[in-house]
Amino acid sequence: MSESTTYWQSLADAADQGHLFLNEAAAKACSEACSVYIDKLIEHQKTARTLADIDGFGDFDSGQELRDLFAAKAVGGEDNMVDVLQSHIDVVREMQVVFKKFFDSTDAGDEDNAADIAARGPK
Amino acid sequence: MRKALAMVVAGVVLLVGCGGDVEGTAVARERWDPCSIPDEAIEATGLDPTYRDVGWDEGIVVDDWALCTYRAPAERQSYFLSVFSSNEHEVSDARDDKRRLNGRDLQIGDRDAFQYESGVSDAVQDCNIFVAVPTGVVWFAVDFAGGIEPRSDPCGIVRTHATDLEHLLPPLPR
Repeated sequence: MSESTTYWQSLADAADQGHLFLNEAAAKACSEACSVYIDKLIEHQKTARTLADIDGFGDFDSGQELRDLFAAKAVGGEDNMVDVLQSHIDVVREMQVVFKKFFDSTDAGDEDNAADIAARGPK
Repeated sequence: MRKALAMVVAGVVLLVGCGGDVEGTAVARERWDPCSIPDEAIEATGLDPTYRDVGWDEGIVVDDWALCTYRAPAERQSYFLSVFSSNEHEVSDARDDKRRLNGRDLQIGDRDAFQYESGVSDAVQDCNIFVAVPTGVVWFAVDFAGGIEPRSDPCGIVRTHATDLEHLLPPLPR
């Protein structure tokens, strides 16, 4: 997953250097989609965590697959569901950083930053 | 003889019927609904009254636990307060489970309670309290998910919410 993070970080660098451009409306829509998705992942992460506790009571007699997915792996180990979801969250946050570069500062009315971006923009 | 027996049985049924309130504890325990907490109480304890997630997500079936999830407003880092209820479990189920971290006995109101942390992942900071109710147990869980660092102790937060909401739980027998 760190590979994906690096990918989006390189896109962020490209945006900073003016090698990458995205129109403001599209960037804004993408950023909002990222927010919604991150929130969904965070909710699932919370659910996975509590299911791991419930698994401790032996309440998953049936639903073996669910147990494997959410709970059994959630008690330690690299593949636990909570950590897997966190790596997804980290990547989507990196994506959002890139999208925000195309509208954040202008939207906030921060003229210094807007000027800065314009100065570094494509010539 | 058979007729006499039938009359005795009828008499017992009648007695049980009349004394329902008194003898009610012998009947199967009805699970308390964690979604019965009104919006006003959610707001009063500092959570977002507009957020309420009823039950488990689609595709997840957990027969033993009813669930209602509440959430803190953004300025309180949007942590979750999950309220679970079971008539199949007791406070002792958590207390006796050695995998629960930093276990600690406490009282919420006049009720027996047990606090622990799960330590499942560094990405989620949680604290949990199991509170005794006549119908089984109610479990309050505070979760800071998404890798955020809580500004205040999740255990302090979950104790505050459990204490604030305790009066809404099924009353203890006197």
